[in-house]
Amino acid sequence: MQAQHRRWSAFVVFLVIVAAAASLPFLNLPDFYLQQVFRILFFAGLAQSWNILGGYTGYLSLGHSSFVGIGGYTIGCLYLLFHWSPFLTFPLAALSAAMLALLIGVICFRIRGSYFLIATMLVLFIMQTLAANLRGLTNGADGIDLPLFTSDFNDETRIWFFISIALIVLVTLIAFLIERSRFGLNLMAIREDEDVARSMGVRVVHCKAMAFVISAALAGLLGAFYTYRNHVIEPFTAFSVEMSAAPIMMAILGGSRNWMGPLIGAVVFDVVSTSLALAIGNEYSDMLFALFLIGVVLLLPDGIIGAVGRLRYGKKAGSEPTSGTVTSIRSATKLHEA
Amino acid sequence: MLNVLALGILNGSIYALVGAGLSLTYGRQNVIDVANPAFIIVGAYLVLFFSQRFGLDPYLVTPLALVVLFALGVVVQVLLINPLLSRPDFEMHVQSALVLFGLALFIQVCLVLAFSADFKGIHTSYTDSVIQIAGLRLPLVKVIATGLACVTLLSLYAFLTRTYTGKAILATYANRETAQLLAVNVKRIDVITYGLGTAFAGIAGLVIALTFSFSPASVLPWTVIGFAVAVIGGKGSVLGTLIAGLTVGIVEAAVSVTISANWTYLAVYSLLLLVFVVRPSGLLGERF
Repeated sequence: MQAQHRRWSAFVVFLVIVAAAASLPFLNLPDFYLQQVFRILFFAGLAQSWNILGGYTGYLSLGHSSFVGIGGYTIGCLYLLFHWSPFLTFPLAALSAAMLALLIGVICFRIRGSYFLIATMLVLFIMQTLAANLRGLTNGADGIDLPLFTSDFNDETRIWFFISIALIVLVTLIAFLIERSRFGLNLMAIREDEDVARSMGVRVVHCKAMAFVISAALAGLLGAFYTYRNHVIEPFTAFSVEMSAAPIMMAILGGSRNWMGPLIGAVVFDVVSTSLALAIGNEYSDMLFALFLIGVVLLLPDGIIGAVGRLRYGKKAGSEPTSGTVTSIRSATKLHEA
Repeated sequence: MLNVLALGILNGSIYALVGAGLSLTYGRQNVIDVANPAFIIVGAYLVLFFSQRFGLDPYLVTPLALVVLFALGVVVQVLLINPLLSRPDFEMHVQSALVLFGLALFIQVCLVLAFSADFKGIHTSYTDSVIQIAGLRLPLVKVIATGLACVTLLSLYAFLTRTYTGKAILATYANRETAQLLAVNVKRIDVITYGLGTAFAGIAGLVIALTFSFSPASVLPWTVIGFAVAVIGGKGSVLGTLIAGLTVGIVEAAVSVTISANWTYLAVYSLLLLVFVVRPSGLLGERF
């Protein structure tokens, strides 16, 4: 079965939807909606970047916001210390996040499964503590203020909106290309069974490190952009557990096996949580949200995408992994024979 | 110097107690039990609630809280964890973590609604008492907590190594399939293990209620400490948990005295990361 999500036509549909979203600022909508769409775009990008390691490779990082934070702090510190314009230092943000990922990878790829999950969470807390205490570099808990670049509020909102559109296209394109490549197949083979993948000749460590670095660099870029847009960075919001947990939930909700899942998950997640909070107040919405999360994981194990697929093909839940294992091992073998 | 050591040991034994429940439930069947620390705070609130309701000493109402927590643990295992057991390993990790994270969030919101988000603590006639040992002035509640930690951990150790059920728990840890072949009812063992884990959270809750102030938001910091202790000690290893708890306590005390209190967490995290790199299965954990 040539998966539909791997066809270019699917990606074109995505581009059309994004282009439609790009016309929103011209419709004179209330600012609230624009902000909402902006947030969805940012978190969709984050979920997509998390999914490259978490979804394709099956290594679940709870520390994804470490990269968001280090991206933000890269532009923040360079501005604070040398007054470099944040726009020019965006690539450096991606670079520093990639370096951090490489460092973590060296330490953490020896360990698997639940240990990896906890180790990445630890890295997040370490980064948080460092950012709060290295006062000379980060201004400590007071955080760093970044300048506005236009005085016109509306222009500023629009510019950020278009940048976020460009970023979501970039991140999704990368995820899409990975899925179509033999690199992507290697990652999926690692997810299904790392030992088998290794014995089939997949360069496991190399692939995992690549996936981690790509995932982190994208998160760093998104983090730099998000930080500059907020004009402020501060340790406990930059390196927050929520920022790590939200993309994971989005990816799982949508379905973490292909690039469409995180996008769909981000939209559903944000719309549901925002409308709950508006409808019944924060405390009760948190409670319902927790129940929603539990329900989704228990009832929709492979996310919305998986549920739709099951409806269409009449497959039972849980039958996918076996066939997935076989196909990805086969494709991995084939590629290395070639 | 001696002071630091004493403080480290007192706090460390409390940490060991916090990690004990987690060490029982975490890692087993690929479940990442992020909900256990939430049950610790539930335990603290239960002790507070019962002791106010019945006008009794916190220690006397603890058994009641433990029974409630054990029952809650059984419900959680049956309703939330059992449905995940048939899924592939790598999905189990994240899905159990997500489900139990959702549960922890749910518990936190319920606690805020029931008891408000304010910090609470239990004050008894002996809260501020101090006893003197070898020239050190030690708070009485912490000394009792240390004794309690030693007694409960030793009895847990005895339970795991001396009774049939305890051995069955260890066997299920070591190899689920083999345990099943040896006629261990692993489903029942799962339920008992999780219930025991939450009951242990209740004892930790009692100690925290008496020695620290707590609020629904305390779940996160105790989660970090709990995982640090459970991972350093090695999953399922009671002695490891005790050693890890004391290590964390002493490192924390030493760093806060010699460098600054800001860096204590960093020291604990780095210690944990070091254990991960050098010996992922923990100090006394076996490589299952």
